Amino acid sequence: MQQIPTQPSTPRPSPIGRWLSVLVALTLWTTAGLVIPLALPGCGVTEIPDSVFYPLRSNPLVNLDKAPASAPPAFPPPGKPEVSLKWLEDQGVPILNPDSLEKAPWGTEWREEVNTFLLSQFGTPAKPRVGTEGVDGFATIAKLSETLQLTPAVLERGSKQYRRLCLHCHGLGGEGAGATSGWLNPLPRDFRQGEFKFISTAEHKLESGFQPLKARPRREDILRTLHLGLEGTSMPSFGLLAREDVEALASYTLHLSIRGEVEYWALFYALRQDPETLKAVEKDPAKESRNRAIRFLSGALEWEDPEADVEDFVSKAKGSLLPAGMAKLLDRILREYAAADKNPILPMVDPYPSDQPTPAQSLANGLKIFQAQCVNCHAGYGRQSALRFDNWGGVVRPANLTVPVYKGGRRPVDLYYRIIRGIPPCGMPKANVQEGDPARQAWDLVRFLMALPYPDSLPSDIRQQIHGGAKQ
Amino acid sequence: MPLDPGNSPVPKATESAGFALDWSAPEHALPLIITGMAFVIWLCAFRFRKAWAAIVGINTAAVAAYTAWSARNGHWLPEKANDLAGEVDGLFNMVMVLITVFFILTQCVLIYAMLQKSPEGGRAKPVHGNHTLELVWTLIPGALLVYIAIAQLPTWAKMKGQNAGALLPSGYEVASDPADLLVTVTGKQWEWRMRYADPSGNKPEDPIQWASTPATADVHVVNELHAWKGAKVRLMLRTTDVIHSFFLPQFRFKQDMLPGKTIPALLHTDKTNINPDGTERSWEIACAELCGGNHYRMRGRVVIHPDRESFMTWLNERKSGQSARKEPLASADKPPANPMAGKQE
Repeated sequence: MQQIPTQPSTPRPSPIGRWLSVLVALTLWTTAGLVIPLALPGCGVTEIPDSVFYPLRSNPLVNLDKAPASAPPAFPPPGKPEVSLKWLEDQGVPILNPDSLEKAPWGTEWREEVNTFLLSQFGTPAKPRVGTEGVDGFATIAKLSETLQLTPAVLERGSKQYRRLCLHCHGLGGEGAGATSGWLNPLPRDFRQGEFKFISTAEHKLESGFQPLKARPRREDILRTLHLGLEGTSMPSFGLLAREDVEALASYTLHLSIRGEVEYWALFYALRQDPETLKAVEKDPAKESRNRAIRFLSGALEWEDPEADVEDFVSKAKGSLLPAGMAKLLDRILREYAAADKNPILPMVDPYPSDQPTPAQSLANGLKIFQAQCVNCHAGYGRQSALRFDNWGGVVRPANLTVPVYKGGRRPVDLYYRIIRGIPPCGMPKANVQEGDPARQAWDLVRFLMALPYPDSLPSDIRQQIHGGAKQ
Repeated sequence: MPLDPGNSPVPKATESAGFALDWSAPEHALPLIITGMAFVIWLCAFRFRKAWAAIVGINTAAVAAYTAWSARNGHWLPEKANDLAGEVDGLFNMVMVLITVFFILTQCVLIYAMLQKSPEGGRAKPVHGNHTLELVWTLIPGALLVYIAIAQLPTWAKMKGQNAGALLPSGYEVASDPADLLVTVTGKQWEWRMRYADPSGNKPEDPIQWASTPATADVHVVNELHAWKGAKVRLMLRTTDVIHSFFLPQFRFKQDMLPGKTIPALLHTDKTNINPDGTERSWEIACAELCGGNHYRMRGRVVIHPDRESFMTWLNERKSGQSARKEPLASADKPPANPMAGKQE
């Protein structure tokens, strides 16, 4: 065994030093033991300072007035959803970049006005609201936001839950670009365009006789999505949350959506390059800002009231025109959501009793309608669907209907809503069921769609046609 | 409001028999603090110089005191939902006893070593090579591990519901499957999607195949596992994305879900969690495999109905909700009070 060299023994520390070391060690251990478990619950803190604002929109505005010339080549690569906007731009679709507003001499002021209006009407994530006292037209806005359950107390609760559960995908301002969003397909919804896919709102007109700007969802559609999630996407179910929290989240979704849409149109009119605007700008370049504001306002008024005289409004308007136009727009959007709630689709009565087996002729008729109207996009019954652009500039794929996964819900009535209303933001048109007996046409198509994924429930000739001969 | 029309009128929930630590009452910590303080005073008085020994001693005492105290105060395992859970607890306790014996043994050796005076020159002499000692500390733990491995086999076979009564679970066989109810559970970031085969209809010919290709009559539910008392539930566990682990704490049941695989497991339901007065004890589903950012809120609810009839009532309501041809009336579909309400955070 190796001899260990002896070392000079170290002098013994004094008793006080030893006491101190015990004390230090004990303090450290206790602190670690207490602080770590007590600090962990801090992870759940959802308070947010009042100084945090909703970010003003900085990502491009897409406006697909007409369908793009060609289909997207593929899904954007993971983590790079913005690539699809490049594809759109390459085929000549105007992509309006809010950053370019800085270049115009009036751009900063315009942005400032938009920002001030949004901040005053919608508050901050800590104190969200819709409408502010003392602003022109506040009375109607306040009344409408109460009808739509957009009161500050509800929104504050919703905002808290939103930051905890939704923010990482949908982002602070509802821009659908949270930290985890880029890797998801389909992408999380960008609420700021006021568009929703799965709606059960019948087509209707506003009391003023005008069409709504967008196909609005009913509150129940949003609640249903929150409760059940969207099967086949990354949106999970929030059905185990307290009921008040789900309600608050639905309200907050509306809040983000309305705020985003007002912002969208205000920036859109600042950036749009349509011939009429360009003509007005060319005539008087010094007044570009004013002319664009008038265009925006006249848009808002036209939407609002056919008799409205823009010249008259402009001459009477006190102060800046842009906030006045945004207030008009906000009022209109609120009324549209309120109207949507009052206009549910009332399904036509199914001519076949539901407790009896599906008649073969119904399936055959459904197949006929499908082949006439649906197969263009849902090629191969959806197995070979070609990709397409949606209204957000993203890439979507028409559903594969041979697999029984339904994003908008699997009840027959859900399929009925989809075919009767279409999915407007994705360019899915509503089915034409007007020939002969509309109720029969509609329900035959629904019945066919419901049987389609299950080879055993199809008559042999149809099964052969759709699924081949393999499955008996 | 038509949320999920199929929601059944499951009875109102009471406060759950939760198993979360309750730190709200400070007096709960008293026995722990008193024992710890007594030990530190004694050690310091007895061996003033050995500060580190004192610290190790305090920790040992504190852990022991807390363990003893927590077992008496409901901080231990949650309610047992079936007999198999008792078996699992038996295994757990067996392992716990073994661990405790060796823990005390090693702590004693550790403290003994720390209390020794340092040798002349300030360094201890290392020991090299002792065949007897090495054999002892290899063979005894080895034998114990082999014993543990064999002792758990029959329980595992029962949990898999395969080759009942045998030592080892075999492959899944449809013919010998004792199941009364077939449920496919698909884990997904971050929810459980359940699909029930209607037990009153025809049993799928090949349940493994059925797990990946739904049938027309299937009932689809999110985050809720329902069955009835006495049912043998065949779970087909799948995932659409990453690895999840399907964990039912009250059943002491845990099984990973692996991408690309359908894993069968059998759930025995010997007890109902519906009290005679109609309230529900909260039994939950949890994900036991870190699966992403919201792993913690991947939870669900288990309802074991008192009898098959009430289960079938629930299932049929779900089924009729699923085949709704019009939106149910707003008043008719008030969803039931949910015992998990507010817990999914």
